[in-house]
Amino acid sequence: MSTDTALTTEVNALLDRVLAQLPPGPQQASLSDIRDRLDEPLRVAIAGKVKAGKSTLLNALVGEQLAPTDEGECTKIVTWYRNGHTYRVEMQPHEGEPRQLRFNRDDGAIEIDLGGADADSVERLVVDWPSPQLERITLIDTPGVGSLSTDVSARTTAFLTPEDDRVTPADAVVYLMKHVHSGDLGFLEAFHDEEVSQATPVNAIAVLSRADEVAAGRLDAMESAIRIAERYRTDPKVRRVAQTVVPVAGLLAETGSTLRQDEFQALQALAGAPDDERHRLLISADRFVNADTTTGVTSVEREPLLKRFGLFGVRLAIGLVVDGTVNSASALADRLVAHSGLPELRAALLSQFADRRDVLKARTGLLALTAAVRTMTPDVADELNGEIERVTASAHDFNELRLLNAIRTGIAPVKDKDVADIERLLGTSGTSAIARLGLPADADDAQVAQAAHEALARWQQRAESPMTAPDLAGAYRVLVRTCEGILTAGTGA
Amino acid sequence: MTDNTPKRSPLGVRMNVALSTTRDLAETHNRPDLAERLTESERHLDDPLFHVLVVGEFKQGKSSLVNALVGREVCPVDDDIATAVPTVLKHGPDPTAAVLYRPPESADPEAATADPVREPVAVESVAEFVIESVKPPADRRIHSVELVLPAPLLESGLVLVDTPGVGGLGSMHSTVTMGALPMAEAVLFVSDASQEFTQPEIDFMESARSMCPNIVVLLTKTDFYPAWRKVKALDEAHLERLGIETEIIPVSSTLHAIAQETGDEELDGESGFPAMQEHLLTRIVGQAETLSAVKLSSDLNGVLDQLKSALQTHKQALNKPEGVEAKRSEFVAAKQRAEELRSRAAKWQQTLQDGTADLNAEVDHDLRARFRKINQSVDEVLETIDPATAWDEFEPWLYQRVAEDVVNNYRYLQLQARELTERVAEHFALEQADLQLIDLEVSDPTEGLSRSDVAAGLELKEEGALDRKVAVVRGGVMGSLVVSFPMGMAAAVLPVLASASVVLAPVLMVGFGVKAFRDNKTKALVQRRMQARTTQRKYMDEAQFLANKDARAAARLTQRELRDFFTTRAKEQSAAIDEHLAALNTVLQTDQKTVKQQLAKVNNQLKAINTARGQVDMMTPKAGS
Repeated sequence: MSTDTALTTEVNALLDRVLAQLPPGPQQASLSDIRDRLDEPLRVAIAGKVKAGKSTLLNALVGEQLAPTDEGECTKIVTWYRNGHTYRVEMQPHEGEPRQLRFNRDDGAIEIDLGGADADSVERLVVDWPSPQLERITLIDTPGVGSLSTDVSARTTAFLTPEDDRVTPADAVVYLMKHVHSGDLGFLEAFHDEEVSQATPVNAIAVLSRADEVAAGRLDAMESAIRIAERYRTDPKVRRVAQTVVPVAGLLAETGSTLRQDEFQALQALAGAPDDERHRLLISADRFVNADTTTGVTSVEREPLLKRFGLFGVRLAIGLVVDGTVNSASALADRLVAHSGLPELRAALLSQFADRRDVLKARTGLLALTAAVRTMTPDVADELNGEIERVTASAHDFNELRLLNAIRTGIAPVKDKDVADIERLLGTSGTSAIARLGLPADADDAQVAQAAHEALARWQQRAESPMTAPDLAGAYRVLVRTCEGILTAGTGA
Repeated sequence: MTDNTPKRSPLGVRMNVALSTTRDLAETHNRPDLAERLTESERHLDDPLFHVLVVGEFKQGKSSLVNALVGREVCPVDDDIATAVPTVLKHGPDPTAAVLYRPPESADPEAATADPVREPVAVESVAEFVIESVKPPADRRIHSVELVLPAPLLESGLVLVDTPGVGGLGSMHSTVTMGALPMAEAVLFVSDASQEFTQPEIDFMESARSMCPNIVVLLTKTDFYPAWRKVKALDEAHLERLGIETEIIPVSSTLHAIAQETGDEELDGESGFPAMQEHLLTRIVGQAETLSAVKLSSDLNGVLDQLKSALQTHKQALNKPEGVEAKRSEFVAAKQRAEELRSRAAKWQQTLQDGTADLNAEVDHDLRARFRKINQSVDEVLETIDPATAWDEFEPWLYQRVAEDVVNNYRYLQLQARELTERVAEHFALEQADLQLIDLEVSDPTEGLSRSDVAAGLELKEEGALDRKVAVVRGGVMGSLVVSFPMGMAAAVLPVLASASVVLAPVLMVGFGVKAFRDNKTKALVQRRMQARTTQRKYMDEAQFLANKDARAAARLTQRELRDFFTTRAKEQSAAIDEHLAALNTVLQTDQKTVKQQLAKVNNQLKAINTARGQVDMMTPKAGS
């Protein structure tokens, strides 16, 4: 929508103005950073508890094995992965100048040489890596909250306050959650990561990670995971902190994205075993590695296979070869990735984050501005606050996001039966006109216009009805504006 | 005997033999009161039940495990659904099932503590009642589900209780489970091999072990996780760090099921099930039996000692007739004092009465103090949240806090009751010691309990304040105490709170009556907060009322049982003295000619007693055997 760039322009202008007024110092420096940041790709952090599968998921998204997934030192440091012209690793310590680090990559993940530096002294590592996947989004891998160091008495403060008014390093967050009961007090722990961002429904997605584990190895694991994710998606606790929930079998996604020819050949050989031998091999993890086989694939070769694919992945892959669905490494790779839920995650990232990039960036900018203005003298502050108000109020995209937030947190008193339609209109299933109106993908311009007119009429009537309470009317007016925007823009989004 | 009699083990047979012999002797020697006591003990022996709780976080494989253990798919297993209701499985010849319903929610909170209503259902339909998403009719809430099955594992008397996994170990349901622990013989703690113990799991085990020391850890889903050995090692390190001595048994219910179907013994071995079943039977059932034997042997020896001492008085008198008159006066005087022991003015009665009053006051105070802290926390929390949006989090958090405190308060009650029991026992023994006039050979009650054959969970404490020791043996099940007295006066199981049912659940199920709060149209945050506070205080008042009521009922029950127990012992004391007097009278009336005959008869009777002693000794293996 054309107001996007206008919004960013206005925010940039405001930032420049405030920067000019600030004396040199740490505040000016950090605001200046924010200013620069607005021009960069969107920053998406991957957060969650230890061993939730963050690094694995990151690798799957990038399509390469970059982040280490073992328990070495480097997994304890926040690491940024961004698109670069060349391959480069830089370390930024808490104190002192950043410096470049040596690394190598023989087989698998990058191995970074910290050069003797202590992990605790490092604020973050920045990896520049040429990759099409990183063009629109910079990924931040976080070490995660340790499950055994969580203070249980922190239960008393387990209440999430939905509005986030701090500026944090990331613009958006992907929270990895494991299948935990929603009545469990630890349920929402996955959504706490003070370092990165506190969850707000507009800039967070939840991923049900390790989705293959929900069925402990049964081949219909993903179907179960989809059902479970659906249930979480409608849970009021989750709705308040994340836009949607997507199930992903991270290991399968990573391995599928990085499948090697020799791995495929080994699987093919195993698939060729006689039926009962194959059945015996697949019955348990121990058996897969240790049982005798006539296929010539040794234990030593099978063990890393199991580590790469997991038992579920091994069963799935061999099954696909046996029934003739795949007969090449690339075919298998495609099937595995498709099955893992990764494409759905990419689609969610695209519609929730990438497409909203400007709004999310602008939001970051405005939060920073608000914080900076608070430190100024009242007369200056008043005027600037007025400007900030104006920008915020006039930015329709903001209003859409705020309404979404308000619905999710229960503040906006919209009727239950309207919620699904309203959210969709506000862009939760995608920001294109077709997505907002819930039309089939092949709808033509005329159909879109028709649907937009109908929606406009509907919400306008509600907004203008004297029976409607004032703040509800305000909500309806936002929807009316959205419809108007669709009509003005034609079929474009 | 009904068809439900569990198979008796060799030890069980020995116990029965010893018991019969001793009881017959009691009858023969004119002590029907002792025979009666032994008949009570026999009733316990015939129907031993060992409750084993199966506990674990959400989705760790508890229900699959229970199904595999009983060989039948009774507990529902689903990727998404959790068990919400405790399921009790016990042995019987034919499969039957019943659902127990809580009394309906009513305006009268007293009604909540009535007994559950039992309704039979089809065995196949049990799953429908147990899962989380089930909504029973509005006026009926499910308390638990009971299943009777002819499963071989349950034949020995094992009773499995599958506890709700809903909400995980940090939840209210788990706290209620915790409250049931003192009644359990053992806990099967289920944790899967996907990762090492989480903090809630560790917290649970730490809390649990003081109430039920017999914990066995089952590491599940070893078929699926290749790194299970590493996880096992990590878990073992945690347990060592905590000082919890227990075994971790790796199992896979999936592999076991396949092995059963295909008859593959090798695979079954890999599933870990044979090892687990063996462990269950020896460690849990075996230990419980050993404890039973220890208790019974104390009991029987006590009875035999009394019989023996009367015979010895008789024998002594026959050998030394000139001292009889003097002895007789002594015993008459002793009889007088024995009557005092029985009376209400006895010191031990005072201790009991005062002690019970103190106990009530202290337990009450404890709960008040805890609730006060919750109120403070709530006030703090309400300052920071908006109840309209945060209610979904606030409610379970509050339930959890209240549940924890109610359970902790109940544990405090149990500890206090135990201490009271020991104090009363001491005072009783002290008063009784005054009655000792005669140097008799009595068996040392601690003899049967050398440290090496005391099973895990038994604690031997010797009060050194007296000449003769009072041995207090605490069994694995916290609800029982064995107290042995000098003069072999008594050894019996004191059912401290064993029969006081844990009525925690009704307290905790008292919901927030005012759910309409959420639909409140009030806009002002301040008003919402005030309303939340009011609602919360009201809930806690009710919870406090109910918890208090339960505590007092438990205290009353304890008091009654202790009073009955020691009064009976005092009566036995009198009866014993009567027997001594009767023996002396017989001697006085005996003429010279029949002395030899009488002596022979008495010696034979003493022999019979020794034989019985031998049988009792067979029940408890000595160190080194």
